[in-house]
Amino acid sequence: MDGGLRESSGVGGFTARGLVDIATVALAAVLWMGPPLWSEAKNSCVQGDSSAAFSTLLGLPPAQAVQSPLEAEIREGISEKDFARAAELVKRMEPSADYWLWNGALLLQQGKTFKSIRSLEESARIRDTSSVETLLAVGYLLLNQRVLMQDALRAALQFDPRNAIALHLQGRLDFMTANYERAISDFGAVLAIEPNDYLSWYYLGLSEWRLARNDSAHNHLLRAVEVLNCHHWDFSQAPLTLGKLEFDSGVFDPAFTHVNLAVEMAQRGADPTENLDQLSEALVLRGKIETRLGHQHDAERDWQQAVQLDPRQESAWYLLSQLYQHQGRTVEAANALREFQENQ
Amino acid sequence: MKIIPSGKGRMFTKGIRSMVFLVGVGTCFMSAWAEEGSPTSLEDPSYLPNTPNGPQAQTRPELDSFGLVMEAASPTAIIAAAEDFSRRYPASELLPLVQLREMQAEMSANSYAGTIAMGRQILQRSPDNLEALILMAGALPNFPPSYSGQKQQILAEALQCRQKAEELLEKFHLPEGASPREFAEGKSRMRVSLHASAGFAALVGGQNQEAIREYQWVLAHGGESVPSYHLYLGFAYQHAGDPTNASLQLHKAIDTGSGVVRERATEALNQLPSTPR
Repeated sequence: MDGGLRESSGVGGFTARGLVDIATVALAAVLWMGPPLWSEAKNSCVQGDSSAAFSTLLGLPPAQAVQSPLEAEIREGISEKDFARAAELVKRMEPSADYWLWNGALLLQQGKTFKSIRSLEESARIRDTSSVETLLAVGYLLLNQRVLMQDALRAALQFDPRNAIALHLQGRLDFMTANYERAISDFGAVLAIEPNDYLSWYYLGLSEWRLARNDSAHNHLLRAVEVLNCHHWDFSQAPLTLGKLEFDSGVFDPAFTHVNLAVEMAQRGADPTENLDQLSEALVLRGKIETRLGHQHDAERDWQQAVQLDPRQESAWYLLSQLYQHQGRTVEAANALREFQENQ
Repeated sequence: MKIIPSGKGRMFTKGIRSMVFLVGVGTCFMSAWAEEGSPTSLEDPSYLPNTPNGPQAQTRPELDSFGLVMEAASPTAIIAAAEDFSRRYPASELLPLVQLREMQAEMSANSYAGTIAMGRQILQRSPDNLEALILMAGALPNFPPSYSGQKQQILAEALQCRQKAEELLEKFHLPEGASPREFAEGKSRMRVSLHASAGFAALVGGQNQEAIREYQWVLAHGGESVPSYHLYLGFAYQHAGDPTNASLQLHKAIDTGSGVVRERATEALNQLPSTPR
């Protein structure tokens, strides 16, 4: 799992200006912190902690489901994305519920979702389990089949109410369908089992924010960012969302630091076009914060970079037009406004 | 482990996703279908759909049957699977997607009658189906010679489809869960498609200047890479008596196209008075 770990930390990669703001962030964090819901997890940073990203392994049967050395090898092959090896190993299995389960897990990872679902359904017909229903829920989620996903999760949790992956998926489904109270309860249940799962912290914070519980939302998003920083993982949505929340609350210095972190995480993608949406969104927000901090020149640079990356970035065009207008640069303002109107 | 929250999910990017956009826009966000066959990025949360919208199967067999339609590769196999699905699940929310897939299979099979019949069937059931309207606006004017007698009615029907699609496209806003950038790109592709349809209809109707205007717009708005647009613009210039521009566009069609496009462009070029490239 740590094969692709990056050494560059979000914090380590801060610009000088960002470094100055770290103290402010820490202070703001203390001020914002309400009583932690899962206090045993607070501030623990353990490298190699399998709990920290457990929900990124949604499409794999859990290690507990492994019943033989052959299955352990298949699981290893799939998790290392050595699909050819995994397929060879699956072929060695006798046709059984387990065969269909592992075959389905492999197909799921290979992106053959319909075939995977048929294989997993065959496994469930022979012997239904929490694992197979959870994998089915993942397949249905990929196809945005919420009705079938809910049925599968209900079955999975009936078999095993402490199935943390099923609970996480239930949270994602409840979040998608705007049942935020339920989502909060689901992610809370996950974190009681897997206390450092950054995605559950992230979605917990997002759900709280949707319910306008800004203090709790801030607290939980900050936990997600802490876990990411601890493990040097890139997931720009977490610091970006945190920065947005802080910006909306008028806390500009920590907002700047977190959005800066989001920009750095988004820029670290192997393919620069991969993170275009996140990167241009983060640049637009960073520019807004910079104007609040009185750094108009930096704001202009960020918005220009945003439209260079994505010429359809209408918000950046609009903000540039306003900035130019304010500075009396009427021709540039008119051009930017025209671009904004064309991209609306 | 590197977690990349990328924008590649969702639905409005290249290749097969263009088709998915066309048949799924505004109604269905099925990342895995769009990516069928590509390794799944389950570790990337933005890979997963995040929308409360989209048609739902009510039972596992219904989804499995839908999967067979989407997995089928040849037009014959698609049509057979789609017919089977339509028979078994006539009230399914997934039926419009199945029918659009069947319509595209009819197009691939070069069956004008089958394409138009399927398009009319979809529009009878859902007159505001934007994807079907766009496909019909493009497919209708492309009739075989045996339909020449019905040219005026066909062009009128194509115009109706195009106008309705344009109207709907104006009102078509970002669905929840879609990437704004990819949505804008998709919407822009639909506009290009409609202008290309208008250009083709004008060409068939003998309105060469109108065809030239439409295809010029198409080329200026992202259609530059489609060889057939150069071919049709070349035809329009040719019929309008402008061999220089006709030659330029036909050469572009030859340079970028293959198969029938290249053959037809070469044929048309040979009929032109000799012009420098």
